[in-house]
Formats: sequence, C-alpha cells, structure tokens
Amino acid sequence: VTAAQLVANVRAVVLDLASPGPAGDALLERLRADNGHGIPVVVVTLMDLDSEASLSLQKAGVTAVLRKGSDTAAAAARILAATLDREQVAS
Amino acid sequence: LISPPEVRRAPPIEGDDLARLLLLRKTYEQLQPADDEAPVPEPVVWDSTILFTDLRGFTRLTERFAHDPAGLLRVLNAHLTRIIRSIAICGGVVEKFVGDGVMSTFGADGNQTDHIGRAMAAAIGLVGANEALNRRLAGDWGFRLDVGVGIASGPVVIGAVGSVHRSELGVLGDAVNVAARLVMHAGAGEVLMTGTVFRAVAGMLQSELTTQSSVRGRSGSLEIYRMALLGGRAELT
Repeated sequence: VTAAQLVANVRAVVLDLASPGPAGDALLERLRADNGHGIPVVVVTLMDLDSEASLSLQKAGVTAVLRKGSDTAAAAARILAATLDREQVAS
Repeated sequence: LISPPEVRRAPPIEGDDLARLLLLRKTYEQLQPADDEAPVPEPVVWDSTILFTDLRGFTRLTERFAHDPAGLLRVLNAHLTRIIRSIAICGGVVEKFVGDGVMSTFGADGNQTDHIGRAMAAAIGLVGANEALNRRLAGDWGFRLDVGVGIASGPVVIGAVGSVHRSELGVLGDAVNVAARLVMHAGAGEVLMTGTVFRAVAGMLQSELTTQSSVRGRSGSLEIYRMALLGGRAELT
C-alpha cells in the first residue's frame, strides 16, 4: 500500500514512526501535499525527536507528536476524535 | 452558568451534595422550575484540571463585522461548536462561556483520575479542529480564526455561588485563575500550562515541542510550559 493510497481512503492516521526513513518521509510528504484535506495525523514514536524534526512534522500537518507509552493509544484516540469534524465523522 | 430568572434554586434532590450540585447545572439546561424548599447543596472540593480557550484577535474581528453582528455570531458559533465538541469528547464540561472562549473543567465530578491527560488531549484536539474549520472556511471568510489555550490543575471548589434566592454553579480556585491568566498569553495554536500539568503529561508529549517560559505579573514564581501546536515560536507577550 502506498502513502497515496493510504491517505485517499482514511479519515485519520496514527503513524508509528519507528525510525527516520523513506517510508515515513514519503507518507508525511504526501500528507503535506494533501494538507487541504485536513486528515488529522498523530505521530507516535519511541524516539526523542529534536526541535527541527518536531517542527517539520507540525509543518507537514501533524496534529500531535506523542511519545510511545502505555497510555499513548488512549491519548491518540482522544486527540483524533476531538480533532475530527462532525461532518468528517458522519461522512 | 447563569440561572434564568424563573429558575432560582435546585429542585429537591435525594442523595449527596455532588449530585445536587450537578443538578444545579441541569436546572439551567433543562429549565426546570425552582423549588423554594430545596436545600442549597454543600460545596465539594476536587482535584480538577481547568482549560480555558480564547480567540486571538477577536476584537479586530468584531470591528470587521461592525455592520453585521449576526454574521459575527455565526462565525463565533462555528468555532465554539468545534471547541465544545472537542472538550466533550475528552470528558470535559464547558462550565461557561468567557467572551469568545470557554472555561471548561475536567475531573470536576470526582470521577476522572486522568483529568490532566484528558484536558491535554482536548487542547490538542480543539486546536486541530479549529484548523480544520480554517481549512474549510477561511478562504470564504477572508480571515482565519486562531485559538489559544490555557491549562492549570489543582484543587477547586464546586459550589453554588450566590444566595438561596439566586445562585449559579461556580468553580473557584487558584487553578481557575491561573488558567484564565495563561490563556491571555497563549498565542495562535499554543497551549500554555503550569508545571503541574506539564509533568503529568511529559511522558506522553514530545518534550521538544514544549518550552519553558514565564508569565509576568503574578505574585510568586509560576512555572509555565508552552506547547506550540502549529509550529510557531512566538515570544510570550
């Protein structure tokens, strides 16, 4: 599944950024290009991102960047639910 | 919550004070008639998290709509609809509207041990929801709506403010004052929080997204952390 196919069929994305690499970069680049669609994205990662990496994610339209932990799934779910428009949820 | 004139006090309620306090809120929402025999519920104190929102530049927007105040209300309500929904989804309660923003509580019913995390999720979510609104309508409007958030946590009292003849549900405490002050300094897409709030969510948030700052004008030292959700790095004003 390509990044383009992914973003064409989903309303929200939780991206587990295991390590910097072409797969994550490609998806984020695609998200940046599709920013007008407003797909909310929560990035979860075990890495400690530096300021530059964090800002780059934000500018790519990422809603939040969370450190992976025991409560990450609940937090990501809440954030995405709170971000989605009612219209987006209903459609 | 301001009781309308015909609703002066809570209806007679069996059960503990909290239930009766919450029914004060329902009294407003459901417009139930008052009962003169109803006792005024005793206040309760809970550790809670307070979240304020505020629209940046709303005064300028008001000027823009000087000849169309109804249009201004439509724009404001489009924004508040998203804000209220984001807060409710995360388990918060909008206690009152403050100008163009809201004051909301998390954990003010004593049943949320994770109220700080919930408030933080709501803050991130409502900034995102507001961005979604901007993406959809800012082009038509010709302007953006930018929201700031202030969050503080601590013991607050929830009780009936006023007299037996006229009261409203009030949430009072230092955390309320601090959160209200923080939101005044929060820039577009920014969440300002106290050290207590930051430490509770630090394990979840990428710390690089959060910077420590300070707000002048409050007695004593106040640890302030700022999370800039839209990639901005404006200085505190």
